[in-house]
Amino acid sequence: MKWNLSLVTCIILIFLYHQPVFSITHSEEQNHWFLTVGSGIQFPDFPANMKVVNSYENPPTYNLDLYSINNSNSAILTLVGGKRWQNKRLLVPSYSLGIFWQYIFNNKINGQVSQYSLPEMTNYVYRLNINSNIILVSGKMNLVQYQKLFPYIQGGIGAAFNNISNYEEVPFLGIIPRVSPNFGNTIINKFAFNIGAGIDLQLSPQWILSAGYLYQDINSIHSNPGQETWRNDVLSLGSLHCNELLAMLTFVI
Amino acid sequence: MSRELIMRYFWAMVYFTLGFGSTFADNPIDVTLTPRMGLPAKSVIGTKYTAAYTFTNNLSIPKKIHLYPSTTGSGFDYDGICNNITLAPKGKKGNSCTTYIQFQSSSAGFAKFELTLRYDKNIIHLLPPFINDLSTNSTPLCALTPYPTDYQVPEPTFDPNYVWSFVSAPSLHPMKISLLTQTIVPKLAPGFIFNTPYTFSSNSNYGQTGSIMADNDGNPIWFRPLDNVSLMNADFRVQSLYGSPVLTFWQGTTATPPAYTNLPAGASEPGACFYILDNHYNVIQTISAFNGFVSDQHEFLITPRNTALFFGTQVVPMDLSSYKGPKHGAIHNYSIQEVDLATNQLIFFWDALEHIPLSSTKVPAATAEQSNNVWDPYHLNSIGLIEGSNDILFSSRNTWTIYRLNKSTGKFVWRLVGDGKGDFSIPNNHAHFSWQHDARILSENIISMFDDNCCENGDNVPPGTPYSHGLVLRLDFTKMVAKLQRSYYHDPNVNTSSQGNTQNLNNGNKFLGFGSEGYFTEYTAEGNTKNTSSDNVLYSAQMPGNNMSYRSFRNIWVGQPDYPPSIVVDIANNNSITVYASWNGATEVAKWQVYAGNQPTSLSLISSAPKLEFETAMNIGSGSWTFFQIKALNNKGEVIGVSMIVTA
Repeated sequence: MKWNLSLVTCIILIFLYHQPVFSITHSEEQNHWFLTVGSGIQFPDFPANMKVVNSYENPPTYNLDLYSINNSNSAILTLVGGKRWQNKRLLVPSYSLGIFWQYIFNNKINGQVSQYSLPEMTNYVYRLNINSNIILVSGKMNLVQYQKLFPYIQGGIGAAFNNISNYEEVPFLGIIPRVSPNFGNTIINKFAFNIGAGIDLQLSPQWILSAGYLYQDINSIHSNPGQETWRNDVLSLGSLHCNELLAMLTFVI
Repeated sequence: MSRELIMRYFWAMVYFTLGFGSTFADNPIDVTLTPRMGLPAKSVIGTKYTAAYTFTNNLSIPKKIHLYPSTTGSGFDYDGICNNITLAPKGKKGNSCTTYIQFQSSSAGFAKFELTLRYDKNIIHLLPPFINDLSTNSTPLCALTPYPTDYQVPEPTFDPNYVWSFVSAPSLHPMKISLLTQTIVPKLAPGFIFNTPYTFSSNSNYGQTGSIMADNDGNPIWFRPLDNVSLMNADFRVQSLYGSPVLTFWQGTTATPPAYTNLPAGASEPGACFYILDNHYNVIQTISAFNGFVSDQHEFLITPRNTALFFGTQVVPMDLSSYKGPKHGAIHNYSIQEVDLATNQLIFFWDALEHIPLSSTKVPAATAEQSNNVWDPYHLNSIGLIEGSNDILFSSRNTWTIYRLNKSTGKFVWRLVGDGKGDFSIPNNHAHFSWQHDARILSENIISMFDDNCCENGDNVPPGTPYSHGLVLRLDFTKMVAKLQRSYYHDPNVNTSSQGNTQNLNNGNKFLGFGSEGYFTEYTAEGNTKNTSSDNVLYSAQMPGNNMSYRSFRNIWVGQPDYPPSIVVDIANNNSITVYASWNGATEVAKWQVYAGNQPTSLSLISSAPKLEFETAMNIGSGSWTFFQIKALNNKGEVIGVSMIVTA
């Protein structure tokens, strides 16, 4: 479903480009390299909790420890570089193709561990760090031009390098502490894609200010196995989707 | 807002959350440790310590627990009874299990015991790990071995008619006493009877030497045996240290012929010391005399300032020919020493030889020939405090004198000599005293003592020697006269050749130990006379054979041992099961309960019985139980002690 959506987007872009109403002569189309820098905020869509099996001999739901998730939103840094084509058409006045790189800053996930899925045995507070590097082949197309405003759509496919690290847990007062499962650090690379829309403001022929929304799928995130008795268990966030708000500045070379 | 401030608020929120959240936190398996701090970090060699972990299942499902011990060094005894046990769900019988760890070190060193609990995937290293480091700052034991002798001292006698033996405490063999007189108990002062049984080295002691606390019927309450008949205790009683009751006693070898003739009879051999124990029977301090003196058995007195007054003795070579003694002789000198118990610093020292003329002794110097040419001219034997004064009162047996000493000046305030030739005249012969012990000031002008009246030579009691008795004198400081106030004679009258004491009880009664005669007796305040010796005797008992005690006391005491009760289960040939229960030193036990079952986590109450003697035997009939445990209850029905779980 994920990559089908991006494939459809690309197909639509290519179709539109070849439609007569959008065609222009080569002599009217200019192409330039561009560099975009942007930052924003990411709103990850985490699950309500993670589950770890504490024993295969316990009946459900006693067989699971629940790790609640209290996530904070992350800051993001985006860089895009590539080629931009622009013309004087009313529709699709410009489009670009490039390499999209985004860094999602450390998202310190924390929550509580309810042993045996029992609220009265919510015995530990845990913390976990997550960050991601996303590299995509990304395309962007401005749809129309209205004075200096250019609404756009964009999409990209590529890979996410998801890093999970620094698991630690602290017992509540009165709890006899266990040896921490100490779920391991890992970097996982997974298929990722994004799709979004926004609006460009042409400040000058060379400077473009953008504000937009991006839906991003960076695939699954899970830790390495824990230690000792937890060596067959991982903390898994499942498949992670994010909503992002971005502000970007493009320099057209 | 600075970053530092932000981080402070963050951690404050974390800890607040941890604390607040703890109201919802519950251990799946709860672990409690008894006592709370477990085994002591520093232990005393030879003393046994016990700690117990109790595991309780708080889940609504059964839960199997696994325990993994790890030991460094030696001395630990872990019963492992809760390993691989399945605890029943919360609220169900069998949802908890208790495992015991005992520790007894035989030498200095380092030892460590750790227990790890595992249930499901949870691993918990139980705290504290028991770490015992005897190499630094441990409470040193002392006087653990007797003074050497080539003489074959008779081994103790364990005749069951005169000596106790217990199934549940097989290492304890205290003497039995004979009850001579016992009145209606409410007239007696409250408290247990304290003795330190031993005998002269030519005799066999009945039972083990040591310190014994017994009730009025002679049932042992607490007994601390010594493992050699030439090692003994003396002056065993309850005192107060830092506001808490403690047990104190002297431990060492008392020189008695024929085994020990290097010193005068009754002297303390080198290597002796004093012990202080708390109400859990843990040794909290040992004290030895300073300046090369030997810790003397006659007195160890803790003062309200938490200092200790005691005697130290020393052999001082001296030409005794001018005293008609051996030329190459020596004096058995005494010192009065005072130690600050908090710092173990010597704060007062007074030398008898520097202050008491040798001419005042009643013991000829020629007697030194019986004891390696060591003359015993003084034989100091008691130190008493004088309320509201820095003066002390001490008794010198061999000068027949009781001295009041000003500690600040080191000089005598007055001397009370038993024949009336001191600072006080004693016109009444019945008020004369000699060879006395245990002089105490009861008020400014009232003095009590134990008047032995005997003898220069304990083996030879001259005819007509007055009988030994407790004596109370009233001093007239205007006329400098000492008059008879009260006397306390034994029925029948006796001559005590050595030792003895007169204890003044809070209700006015007097408790006397008759030293070498082995009697101990309680009187009303009125006392009696030589001719009315059966009057006003509330209690009288006698030790077996030649057993004696330097002093006898009646003291109130509440003992709460750290170690658990002892249990032994015996199955007779006809499958009848008898459970033996005892708890050495526990004074609050009123009742025993016996629990039994086929799983250590599932024991049921089988039987109960009142605790009447040191050991209680409970026959619980025939049954197929495998595991047994006893619980001690006080008179409110509260469980105050639980034994280890044992198998038959």
